[in-house]
Amino acid sequence: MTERSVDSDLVIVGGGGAGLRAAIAAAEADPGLRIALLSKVVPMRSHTVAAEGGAAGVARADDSLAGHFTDTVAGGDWLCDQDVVERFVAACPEEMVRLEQWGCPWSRQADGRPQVRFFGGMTTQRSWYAADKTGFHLLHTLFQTTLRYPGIERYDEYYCADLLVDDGEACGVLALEIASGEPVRFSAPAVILATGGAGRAYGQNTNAGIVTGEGMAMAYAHGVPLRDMEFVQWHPTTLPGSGILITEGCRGEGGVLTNREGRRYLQDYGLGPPEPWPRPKAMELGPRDWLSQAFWREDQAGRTVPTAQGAAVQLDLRQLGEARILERLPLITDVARRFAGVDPLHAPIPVRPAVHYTMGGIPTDAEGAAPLAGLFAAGECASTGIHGANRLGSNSLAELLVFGRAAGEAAARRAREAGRRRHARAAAQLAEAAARPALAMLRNERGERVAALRDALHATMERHVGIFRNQAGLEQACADLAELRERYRRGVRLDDRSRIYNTEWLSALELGHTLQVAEAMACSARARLESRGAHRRDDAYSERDDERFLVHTLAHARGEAAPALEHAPVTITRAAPQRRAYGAAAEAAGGEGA
Amino acid sequence: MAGERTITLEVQRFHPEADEAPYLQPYTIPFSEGTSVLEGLQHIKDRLDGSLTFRWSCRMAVCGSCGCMIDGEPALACRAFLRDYAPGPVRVAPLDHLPIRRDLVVDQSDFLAKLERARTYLIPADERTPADGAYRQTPEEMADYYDYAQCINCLLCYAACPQYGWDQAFTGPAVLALVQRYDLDSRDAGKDARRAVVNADTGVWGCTLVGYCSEVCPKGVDPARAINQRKPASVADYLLGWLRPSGGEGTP
Amino acid sequence: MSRPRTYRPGMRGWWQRHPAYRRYLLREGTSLFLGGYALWLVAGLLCLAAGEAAYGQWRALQGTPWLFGLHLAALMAACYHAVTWLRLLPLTVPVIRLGGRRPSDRALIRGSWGVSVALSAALWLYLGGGWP
Repeated sequence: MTERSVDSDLVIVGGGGAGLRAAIAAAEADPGLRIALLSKVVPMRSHTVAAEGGAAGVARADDSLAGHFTDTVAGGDWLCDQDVVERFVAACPEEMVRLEQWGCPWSRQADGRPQVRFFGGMTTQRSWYAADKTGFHLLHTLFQTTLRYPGIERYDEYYCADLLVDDGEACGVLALEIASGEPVRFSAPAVILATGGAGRAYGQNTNAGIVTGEGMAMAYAHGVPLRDMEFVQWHPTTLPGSGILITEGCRGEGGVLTNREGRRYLQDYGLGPPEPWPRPKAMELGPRDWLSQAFWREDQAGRTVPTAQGAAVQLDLRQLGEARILERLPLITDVARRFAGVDPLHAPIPVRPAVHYTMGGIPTDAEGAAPLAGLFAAGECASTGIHGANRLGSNSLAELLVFGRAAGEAAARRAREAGRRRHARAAAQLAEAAARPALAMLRNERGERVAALRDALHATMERHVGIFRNQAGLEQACADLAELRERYRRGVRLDDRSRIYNTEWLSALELGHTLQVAEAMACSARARLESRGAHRRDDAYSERDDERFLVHTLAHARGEAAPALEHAPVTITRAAPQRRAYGAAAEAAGGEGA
Repeated sequence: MAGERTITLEVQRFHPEADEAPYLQPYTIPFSEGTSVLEGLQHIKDRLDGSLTFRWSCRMAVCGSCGCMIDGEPALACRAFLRDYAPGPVRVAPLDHLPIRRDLVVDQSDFLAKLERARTYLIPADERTPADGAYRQTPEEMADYYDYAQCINCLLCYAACPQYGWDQAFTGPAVLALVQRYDLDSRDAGKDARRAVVNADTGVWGCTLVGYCSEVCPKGVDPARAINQRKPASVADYLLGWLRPSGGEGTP
Repeated sequence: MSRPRTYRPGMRGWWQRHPAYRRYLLREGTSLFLGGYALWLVAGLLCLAAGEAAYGQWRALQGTPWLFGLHLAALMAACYHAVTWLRLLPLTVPVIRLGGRRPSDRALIRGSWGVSVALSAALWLYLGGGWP
């Protein structure tokens, strides 16, 4: 069945920022390595391209690694693994400079040095940016840089359908060449998953259509637990309806948020006092979880602005002036004009929160190694432990560089040590078995449409696993998801039975993975009987509970049944948990987290 | 998607195993003020015909996946709105000049191969390490190449270029614009390495300045300018090649 | 790896596909008139070389209505070609700095109009022409 096979030293699944950075790192570490880089889209279509605001890395003389560390840990509501955060913040500046040397057009100061901007939850300016297209420039710079390395063999538009695991070791993947629908076996002693997040489990999200969580789901199905999946980030400023992202950089430059009454309502949520221009870690530059939660409360109180696509608040950029808006926020200007019919030079942009980022994922150590020999993960699909319960804006682009590189180097070491052909015979059989269910789906005579199941998934996640959660809702979500998975198993019926470029078939395969990840999210949330970071409850557990829940959640797949959950300790090195405070309250508390 | 108004999309279909040649299939769908052509296609795929095949991803005009011909003009489906084509019908076809794989999906491999050959990456004068720190580059120096660095590789310019339609050996607008992007970067020293691609008959001289590529670019890249501002230097290379018989690199 | 076949549409009737293509053809087409006019001048030179009689015949032809019409068409074509050519000129200018700044397209177009008018005037004076 799988006649085609590719033998490599290293297989990387995903051609976004983390996958490309890993590929470059591996090729630099060992130019002789054969690296197969698979992606279900041509790399520059990856979702990294849509990141707008910036990438964090200490750059200014008045800043320090300790400052970046403290902001990150406090922003993560102390659920971060502090040993990893220390390594992360120390590695960020070097990665930013390296990217600069590869040609990234970082925005500059008049004297030619790279410029940095304010971001939510950060004490000072430390987000490197390229206007408001940081992810776009970062991704294209990385993609174009990979062209220098002959060892990197790209397999564009190959959909990775399953991981091949033999005798407790990852030994390759089974992919479908999208153009032909042919299964292809990729064998290698080391596999890096860089498949991105799972934001598409929700209906309202900022994510590209490809962000469906299959990397997480594949590892999960092969016994790797998923960590901290209850922590899903809502970005506070997105376009109502479409969920298109309106960067935090807008607020970093001085944009303000007002409610229906024209009031800068964040001052009512412990983020004040309001000052006309950005003040770090206050008001509009508070953390994303607080801002999204504040929106929810404003909406409950009837102080939002109704639009055709639902409730919104106003993001007002006018005080920046035309020149600064056009120089620093050209993409936002175009997006607002085209997609919202609003010219930000003359009117506020209506915005509301939408799902943006999956804090949890495949647990890895600081080298990107997952708890399965031969398997590595980097980027949004990984849970390195740096984001805790709430990621700070601009830490994720930095993350995919730092840990993409780390994973690439570690995987290259393993590839050299392990040698190529160990699992060759088993891999062929495993690939055969992995391809069977995918191909069988093309022959289903009965079942539901992909869209019907996907709509039901979105409805459940939006309603019950939202910005605010409660026990009854989460119970319902877990039950709904178990039922949806059962409906999916009973059958998806495709209009399209052809193998050639069958995108309906691919969406059906993706949906199976997304359902599994969504179930891990809901069940992990149900088990966390406290409120922390982005996991906020409005039931009896509305407060943080460090006694019982200063721990990671690990969800273990149990086939068709709901996951088994356990908790694992968080590594704390030097910052003991404190109450999170922003704005004037942080200063009153003596600079904690400030 | 709920709206009272409807519009008919005439979508070009082609399946390599079933069809000798492409044909148009009409679908009538509801739309509202904010419905993009892409959302129209998604509505068809989700509710009417799951076999309709097209690429899409970011839906905010930055990933470059969903380029197609909309009423004969190359456009990103996510950035075109059905309201502008009402009352319709609106015709949606794959990008011109590129081989069609299926329905609206074209083969992008020629573009990718050309990008690789053209060495569109920074080639430094000497290997720097992060310890050396970032290059200094003033905003004015950056402005020299910045517009060309905005290319999202959506291939609308290839669909707008009749020269590429006639001769696929032509390197084409986006790749040549990216070459110019690096050649004009103050940090780059790779101009010589890219010279052969630029000066060839299939390089800048394949362009006759139709100029439509720059009109359709959704990111304001202006590939026509990138290509033609390079022609004087290419002529100089050619003449110098005559003066110095040994240095044959400038010969087209 | 047997790739499924693809379909490549041809270029038949390409110029009907978009007004931009027709504008391009018009722009390039006007150069035929310029070329034709140049050939006509060469013919005049050859006639001059051939002797007074031939040159006289050539000059006499100038006055005929159909040739006058052709001249008028050539003049209009030349004007259209000049306007479009100078409008595109900024696209062919390499990245240069004048006084530390990159000249705007507008300045380049105006400058080139100035230069061409000045050159035409100089040529006119050189040929000893007065006001027409």
